[in-house]
Amino acid sequence: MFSLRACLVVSAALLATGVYGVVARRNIIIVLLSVEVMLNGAALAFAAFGRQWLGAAGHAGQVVVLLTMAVAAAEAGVGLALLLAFERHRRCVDSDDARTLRG
Amino acid sequence: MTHYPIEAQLHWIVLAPLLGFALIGLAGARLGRGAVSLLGPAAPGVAFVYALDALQALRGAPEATVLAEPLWSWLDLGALSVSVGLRVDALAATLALVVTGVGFLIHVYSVGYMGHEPDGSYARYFAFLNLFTFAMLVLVLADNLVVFFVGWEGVGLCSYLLIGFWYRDLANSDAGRKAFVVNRVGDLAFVLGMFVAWRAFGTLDFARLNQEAHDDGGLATLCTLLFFIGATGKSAQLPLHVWLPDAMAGPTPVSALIHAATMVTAGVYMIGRLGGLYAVAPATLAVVAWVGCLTALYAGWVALAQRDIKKVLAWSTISQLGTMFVAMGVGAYASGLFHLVTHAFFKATLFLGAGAVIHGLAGEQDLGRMGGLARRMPVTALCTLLGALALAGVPPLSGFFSKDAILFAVGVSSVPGRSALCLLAWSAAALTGLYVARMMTLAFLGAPRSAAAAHAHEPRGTMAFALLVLAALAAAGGALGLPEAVAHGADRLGAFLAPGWAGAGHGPAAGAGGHAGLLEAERALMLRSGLLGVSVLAVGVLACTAWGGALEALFEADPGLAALRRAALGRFYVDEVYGAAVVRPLVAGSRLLWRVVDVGLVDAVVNGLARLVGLAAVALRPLQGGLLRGYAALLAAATVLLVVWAARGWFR
Amino acid sequence: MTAADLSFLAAAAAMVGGAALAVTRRSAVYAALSVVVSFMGVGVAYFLLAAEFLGIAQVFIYAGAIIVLFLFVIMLLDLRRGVPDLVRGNDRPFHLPALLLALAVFLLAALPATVCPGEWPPLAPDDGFGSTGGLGRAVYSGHTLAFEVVGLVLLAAVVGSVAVAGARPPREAPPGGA
Repeated sequence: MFSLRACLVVSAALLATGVYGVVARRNIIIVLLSVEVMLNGAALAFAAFGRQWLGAAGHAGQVVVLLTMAVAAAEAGVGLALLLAFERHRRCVDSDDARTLRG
Repeated sequence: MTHYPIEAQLHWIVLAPLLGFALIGLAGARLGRGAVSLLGPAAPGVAFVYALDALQALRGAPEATVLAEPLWSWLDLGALSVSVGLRVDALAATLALVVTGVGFLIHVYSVGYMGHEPDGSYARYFAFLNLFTFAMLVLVLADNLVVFFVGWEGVGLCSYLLIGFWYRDLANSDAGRKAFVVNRVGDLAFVLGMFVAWRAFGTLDFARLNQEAHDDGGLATLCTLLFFIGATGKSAQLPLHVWLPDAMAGPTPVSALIHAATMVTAGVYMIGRLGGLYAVAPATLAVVAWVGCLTALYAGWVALAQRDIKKVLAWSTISQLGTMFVAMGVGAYASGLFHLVTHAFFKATLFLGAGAVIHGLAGEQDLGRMGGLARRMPVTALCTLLGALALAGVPPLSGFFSKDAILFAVGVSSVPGRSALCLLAWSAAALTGLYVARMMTLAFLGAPRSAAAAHAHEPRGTMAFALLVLAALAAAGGALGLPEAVAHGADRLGAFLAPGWAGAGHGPAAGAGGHAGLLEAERALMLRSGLLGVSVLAVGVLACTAWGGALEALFEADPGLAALRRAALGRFYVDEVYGAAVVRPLVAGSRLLWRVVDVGLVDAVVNGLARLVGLAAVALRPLQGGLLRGYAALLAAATVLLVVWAARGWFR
Repeated sequence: MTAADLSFLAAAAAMVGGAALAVTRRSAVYAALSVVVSFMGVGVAYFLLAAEFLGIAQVFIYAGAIIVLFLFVIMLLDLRRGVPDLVRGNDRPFHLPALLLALAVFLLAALPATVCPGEWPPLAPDDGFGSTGGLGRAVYSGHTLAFEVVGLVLLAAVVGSVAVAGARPPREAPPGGA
């Protein structure tokens, strides 16, 4: 039951859910959250492959997960900063509102 | 006879007016009026001095010497190699002196005549005039057909620019365009002629063309005929003469320089330049003689009816050019060139005199509103009279000798239809006297017929100076080429020119022969033509004064005569025929092409393409709508597709 | 059905359920809290996959720090106006295409699972796989460069965030233009 196969299915489900969130939602906060979900799906797959292969290759998978977390933190920081700047300007967090070329 | 070119420095003859053009043309009104007035005439003046220098060199050298200055190689394409070089022989030196000399005087005259122009257009005028002098000198000094053609087109350009000089008036710029377009017809033939010459003789060099000319398979006849069509355009012969009368829209000094003295004689000069080639094509020469003769007669008739003083002179110019072509056609090259030179003198005088009249009458050109000017403008009247008498062929003025030489050459030539040609040439000469008498009488005799004529004033300063000098030349120019019949060795111009065509000419005039019988015949002919000139002139003056009423009654009584007069006034409707036969079908055809091909086909294709792009843009626009979710969806979809494509082997 | 199986089932339910709730909530606060549930599940999965350090880090950094950052921002915005104002209108429904796309992504990503082994290899009891020490050795021996680069990315993100979020709002132009 609990196996690489199951982990990959769950990982794919997380990724697909994230994609849905990014494409369907207009609230930029939720879009950013969906990106985090996608990143977690990918990270889970790495960790599962690491468990399957063990040894140095397995550790490499875990290192990638670790680095993904760091990058996700950076992405969240920058994304939220941009969100704040955008909101200050347009008084909303609707991505459909970010369509005009002039500020 | 072989020509031995001698290396010489000739480029300053051409460069001086070019420098003048560049200076005046680039600096324009910023130079100031005084500087333009000095620089403008100085350019042809300097060229004149250098041309005199070349003449001295030629006179000191043996007969048929050629001064040459190779400049640079222009084209080198396989067998075709065109070099740019200047070349002065007796013929070119004569023409160069006329161009620069008469040109200098007319520049001087223009300083006064154009004095009322604003600074900008004053400078523009002199820039164009200098450019014209440059182009004409390139034409004269060219050593091959291609360089010659550069000058040929250059003078055409300047003619266009100066006819339309007062371009704010639509009629003037229309006249300029007409001259340009009609000349292009001739130029096309000229270019074709160059192709044929290249094909037939493998060279475009004047010296080699003249020496190696032969008429295998009629190619020489063909190419000389094509060249002559070019000449009918440039020199306003039938049937391409229609532009010259309209060219009178330009300033009068321009008419004097370009449309009487120099540019329009380029066709005559061209035949002289290619004398050796024309000599092997007698059929072409006959055509030249007959076209010239018919033009002379036709233009004389039209001149008789014109009311505009400049139009009379314009038609007279066409007629005189026809006379020159008659001379070229019967092989009397030297006589034709002699007439070219004297015509430059007396026609320039006449035009400058007419310019003085127009200037003095504040722009009035209608002969019907002149009259009695001899009292108000005695100097102008005297100068114009000298020019007019020379034109009418009254001895001993210049035109008498040159026209006489041509009539004599026609009489002793072997051209087909000689008797008829002779008769027509004499008739044309008689007509000349008539229209000259009419013009002079209407303008200068009788009572003033308008307020302007009553208050006319004499030209002063530079205008008077140029007019007097040219009148003197018109009177005494005949001394250059007194016939052998007057004194042995008197035909100095002929003796100077003739060796250049040695072996080419076949008329007696070219050989400057001295047979006693011919001399006797020439003396008799001079007597008759002198008498004819004087008597026709007298008849003309009487017809316009004493017999005027009777003549008028005659014209009114006979509808045929009245119709003839209307036809002559209307130039025998040649322009109308061209309008119906050429211009209207062309316009209709263009309209058809515009409506059907351009709008229906070309525009439709272009507009269709544009509409297609527009539709595609409309279809694709949502992709770039700035919608973040749209971009994300595209990104995801593209990623899916990419992964599927990358893993396609796995699915198989 | 072993204990590991049961734990994984629960974790999977938390992961997928939390994520599904997160992307469908109207309120950003609920979405963020649902994401916490999902990330907790991921953390449990890491423990089950013998990655203790990752599990701890997942809980502390992701479910802790990052989501708290989100909540801070949400509260910052909510201080100024109510939740509904944050998104204007409800035009341009994108749900169906998004669902189709998500399905395609899921199928494609789950496809490799069909050829994966159904059993884990046994763990050697004392080789320290996934322990803090083992992972630390792996990071500092084989992946130093990647680690340093990520450090640089973090630095750039910090500077960038301060620069973007700390920028003064543009002064309102006076009516009629300057």
